[in-house]
Amino acid sequence: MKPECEEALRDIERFLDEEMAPSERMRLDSHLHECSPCMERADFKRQVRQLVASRCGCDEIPQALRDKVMQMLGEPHSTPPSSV
Amino acid sequence: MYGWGVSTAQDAPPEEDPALRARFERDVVPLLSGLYSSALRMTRKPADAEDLVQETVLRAYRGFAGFKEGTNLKAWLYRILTNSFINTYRKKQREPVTVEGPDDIDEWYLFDRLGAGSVEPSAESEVLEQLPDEDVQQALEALPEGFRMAVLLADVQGFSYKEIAEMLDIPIGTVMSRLHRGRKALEKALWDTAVERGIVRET
Repeated sequence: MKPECEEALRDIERFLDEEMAPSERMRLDSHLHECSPCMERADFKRQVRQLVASRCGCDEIPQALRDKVMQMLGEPHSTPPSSV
Repeated sequence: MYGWGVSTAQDAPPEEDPALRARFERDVVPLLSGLYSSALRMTRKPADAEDLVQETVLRAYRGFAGFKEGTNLKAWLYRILTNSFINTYRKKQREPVTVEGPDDIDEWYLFDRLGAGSVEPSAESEVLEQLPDEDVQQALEALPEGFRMAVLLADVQGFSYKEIAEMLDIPIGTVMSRLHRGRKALEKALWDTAVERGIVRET
């Protein structure tokens, strides 16, 4: 593996986490655009994160719990009855 | 004791301040489902997750007068969630925070295995899309707590290293190492699940 690829892959996590200084970030970004094997690895890591984010953050709060919470805030006036 | 401001004596409680209460409803209620999802991943039990959400909202409501408008509400709320989880649930479970886990997993464990199969290049992650939600959730929930919290807060909720360090009261370097090890362990768990499901063949 080329040294610049080694360096890029070592920093890929901070890059994807957007925790890099702009100059560092630009350097890694331009490497990825010139090096498809590194880009493929970066895309893969990004997609795994997206998978985890979409599957692990998608639970809807149960209606009964939502009601309890709203009651705690001292509703009732925020959701007016639909029919009188 | 906590980093998130508790209302002081001068602050009127939200129940006596209709504008404050309206602001709480407007800003916090849309975050409830995300909060519940996170509570589920932390406690791994719906009943405990419900209690944790209620405790979090109540604490947030009481402290809301001390929240500075214009600062990051979601980070403030998740700090309360994390504190509540650590103080209530970890004590209840009498479990110390665990960060043990296999340390010999290669960074590219999953990528290499998916790439080695009959999968077309650049379609590696599409294979994982076939995993049911529950399998991915379980893979995350099975991580040791220290890893699980870091990965949940970064990858699911999108918080920065600094925000996570403040929530968990650990140095930024520790956040980075927990994320690194937690993500590797999670990728291995995803691979094992995909093998179990017959989505990929063991290589």
